[in-house]
Amino acid sequence: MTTAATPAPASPGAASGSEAPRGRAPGGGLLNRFQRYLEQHGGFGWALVAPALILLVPVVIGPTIFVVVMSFMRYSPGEAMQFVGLRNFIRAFTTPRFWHGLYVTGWFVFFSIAVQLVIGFIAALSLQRVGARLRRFSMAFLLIPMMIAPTVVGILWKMIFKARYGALNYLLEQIGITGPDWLANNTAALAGLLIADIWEWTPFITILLLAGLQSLPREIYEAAYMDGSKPWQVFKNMTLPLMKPFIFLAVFLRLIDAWKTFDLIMGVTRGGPGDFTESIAFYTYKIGFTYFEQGYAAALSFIQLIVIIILGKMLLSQLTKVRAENKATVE
Amino acid sequence: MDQANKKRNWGDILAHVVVVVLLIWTIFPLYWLIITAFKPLEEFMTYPPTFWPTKWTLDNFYEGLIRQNGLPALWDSLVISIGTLVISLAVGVPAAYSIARYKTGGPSLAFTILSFRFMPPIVPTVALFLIATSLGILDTYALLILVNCMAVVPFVVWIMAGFFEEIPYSIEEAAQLDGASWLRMFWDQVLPLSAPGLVAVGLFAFIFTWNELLFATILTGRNVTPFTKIVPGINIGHVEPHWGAIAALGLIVIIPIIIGSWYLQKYIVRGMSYGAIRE
Repeated sequence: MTTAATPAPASPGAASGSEAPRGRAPGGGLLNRFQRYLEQHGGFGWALVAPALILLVPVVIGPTIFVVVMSFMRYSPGEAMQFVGLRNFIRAFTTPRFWHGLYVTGWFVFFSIAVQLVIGFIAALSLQRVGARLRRFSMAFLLIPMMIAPTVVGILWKMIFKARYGALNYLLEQIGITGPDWLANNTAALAGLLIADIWEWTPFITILLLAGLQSLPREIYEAAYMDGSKPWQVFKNMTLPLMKPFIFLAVFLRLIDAWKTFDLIMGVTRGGPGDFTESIAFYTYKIGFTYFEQGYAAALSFIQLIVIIILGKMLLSQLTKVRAENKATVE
Repeated sequence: MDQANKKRNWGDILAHVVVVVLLIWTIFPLYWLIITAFKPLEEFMTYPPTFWPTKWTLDNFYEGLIRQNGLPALWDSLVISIGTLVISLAVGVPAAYSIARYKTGGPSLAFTILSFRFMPPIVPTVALFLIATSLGILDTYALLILVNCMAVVPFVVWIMAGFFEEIPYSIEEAAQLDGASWLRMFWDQVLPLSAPGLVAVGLFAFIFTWNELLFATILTGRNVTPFTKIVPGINIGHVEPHWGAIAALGLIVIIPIIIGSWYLQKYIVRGMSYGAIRE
């Protein structure tokens, strides 16, 4: 059965593992002696973590610090770096295209998560209701959109959105709707991105919520129905509150992912028409690697980092709170 | 009682309808990809579009793999993915064990490592581009493997730590009393017990790297061209995309992933939720 563990990996199990193991027979080779030395000095655990840290520090922490420094510089490849103070940030805050990128990202994050939660919930409730065989069969296909390369998802939908020869407009025509030229029209292009994202990620929400539904205790449902509650009441008063931690988790994971949206835009619209569907990440990419204004791009990156840290912290504390409350009510 | 039964039936019918619609919605774009890959060139421009190719052809595969250099691109992606897989497991698994068993660094170390995964990859990339250029390692396998580890190692550490915590500690204690070295004990006792989890984590690691686009676009040039970089740009002449070749390559790159994800079915929720939900 499913259990919702706290995100801290350190919490469950292994109470006995709080200190290095003892009681090893003496002797052995150089490696053993080295190991014993580390254990006696409490460093064995760190020795095992060290390779990962040695790898991560130069590729993550180093460049991130460097980006922060660069964000106060004016720099393009082949030029000397020049300190410009806060000018990059001022430039960002006074550039409409920056605000538009934030707006597109925000719009995209909000609608993709909202729509996916609603559809995902309906789908999860339905999947829980059908037989185990059909459920397993469906799962095998639901996995596909989220596992394949977002680049492929992008071109897949681009193919379907094609104005004259695409499948979507043809199908829409059959039911009497004249479809827009999806990728040439501002609003339609944004809607198109949303549709592609819904296709890619709704199955993930569905599977996550289904795991949640299946972990809910059966007995309380039986009791509720015995009391003569209507299905809608049961859903509203029991299922929804009990599912809160799973819903929060889904929102948390999707938000962090949707905030970085780059691949899908690269595949479907390339930011177009014009720069209407440019997310903040895509705008940063354009500035840094098409216009090569890398000081400014660093400032944009820095802003995104701050936002995701704040958002992540807020959501994580909410998630922990909801979990704590929920444990209290179930038990 | 009768009425309740009737209601239940309607609910069941509705649930089945929803599931069928969901399946059609999920499968149709994949179906479209498959038939596009086998359509002859002139059929991309017909209206109405054909929902079943009039003639099945392999020309698109030849065009994509040979003439548009799909084959070397696949090779590059494979090298980068396997390199990342090997290195991230080699450094990530011991770290995960240490965090799970010795609580090294406490929860803050584990969280810090995980938070690296949530960082937008564009952030360090701006600096990495500059650093790699000055070191002369831009556009090499080594660089791509290293930067992909940035996203994959945190995942490996976090998820494997969860798997290690599920192994009863008594097994290791028994091995240690027998005087086995840590390496022997780890290799003989711990790894076999966590093998299914290890395979799942390895598959995830491979898939994440295989699908990666941002690093593949920015940090490569002429030498290294992962498929994610070249596939969307395959054109006939200069503007019109060669949909057949794009679809053919798209199909080739997703088939191994689909097969792999079927193995992952059991672990998908756990993996994609970073171990927050364990089935």
